[in-house]
Amino acid sequence: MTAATHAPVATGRSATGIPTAKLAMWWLLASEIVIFGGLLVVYIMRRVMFDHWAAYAEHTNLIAGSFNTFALVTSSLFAVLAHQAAEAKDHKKAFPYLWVSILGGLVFLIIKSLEWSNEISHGFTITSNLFWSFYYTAAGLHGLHVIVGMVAMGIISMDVAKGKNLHRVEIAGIYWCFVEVVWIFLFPLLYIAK
Amino acid sequence: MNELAHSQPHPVARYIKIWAVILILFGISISVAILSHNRPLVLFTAFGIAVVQAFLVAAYFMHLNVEKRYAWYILPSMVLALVMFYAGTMADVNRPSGQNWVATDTMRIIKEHEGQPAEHSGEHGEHGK
Repeated sequence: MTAATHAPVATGRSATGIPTAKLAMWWLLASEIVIFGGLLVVYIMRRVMFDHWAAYAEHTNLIAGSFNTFALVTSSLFAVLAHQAAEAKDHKKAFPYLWVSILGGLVFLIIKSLEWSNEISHGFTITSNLFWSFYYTAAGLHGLHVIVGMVAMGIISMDVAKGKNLHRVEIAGIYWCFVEVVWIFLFPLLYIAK
Repeated sequence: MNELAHSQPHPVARYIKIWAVILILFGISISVAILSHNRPLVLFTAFGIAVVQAFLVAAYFMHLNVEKRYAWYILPSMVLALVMFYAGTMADVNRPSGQNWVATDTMRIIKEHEGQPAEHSGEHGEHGK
């Protein structure tokens, strides 16, 4: 099947003015806002109620968090560059950009696992207390989204390498940037609000 | 790429500028957190900058600036729903007790840490270990 005949019907028509796949992604992200937003709002409410959480927050690693922010922001830049290349139908550029983006996610996960190993070795586990429960749940759920984004971009890149389904690069890029937005709010909550 | 996809140019230079602005804002946020002992200032700066960074990512990296206007409304409407839900319930859930109820676990945690310097709080206190 050639690239020209491969375009899925569902993404080629739209009564909404937005391609169906992209609109589906916006709705997915809307549901993600409720998931992460709910978690973060509850965290903020508990944080306001329990002053002593400030002492626990002192143990989070600002340097690791900062480096991870840099990794995700840069990774998002390359996801956008991949989209731009895909829009120009330049799949030879889009492919490596996607993989640089995936690499950014991998760096994020490596730093995060080192950070968690250090915290766990100091006795701060998910069952230690409510603060650490929130910390591991929020960061863990976010990490899970990072993994999903990396896998999705990896799968999409296989088609991109062949010049097929280039529109999917934008959909994956939107998701990836949302994952970055979540981190942008997690970072001050977990690493700066001490 | 289908015909509905917008075909406006997205020059690389503009994306790199936005990336740089996001990182500069991030640097300011970190610097204030490290250098200042004024907690309200640190929090205001950190969360204020986070909102600006999120806006930049949503508008330019996620291309909401060239998307149909109603796509903008999908995301904030979820935030609004969240705010309404919590605004409606936080008068109760953000208190350890009310007229006819007591959140026993919350009360216990508060009592455990009352009058204690935060540094000496037990690491395992909140789960009753």
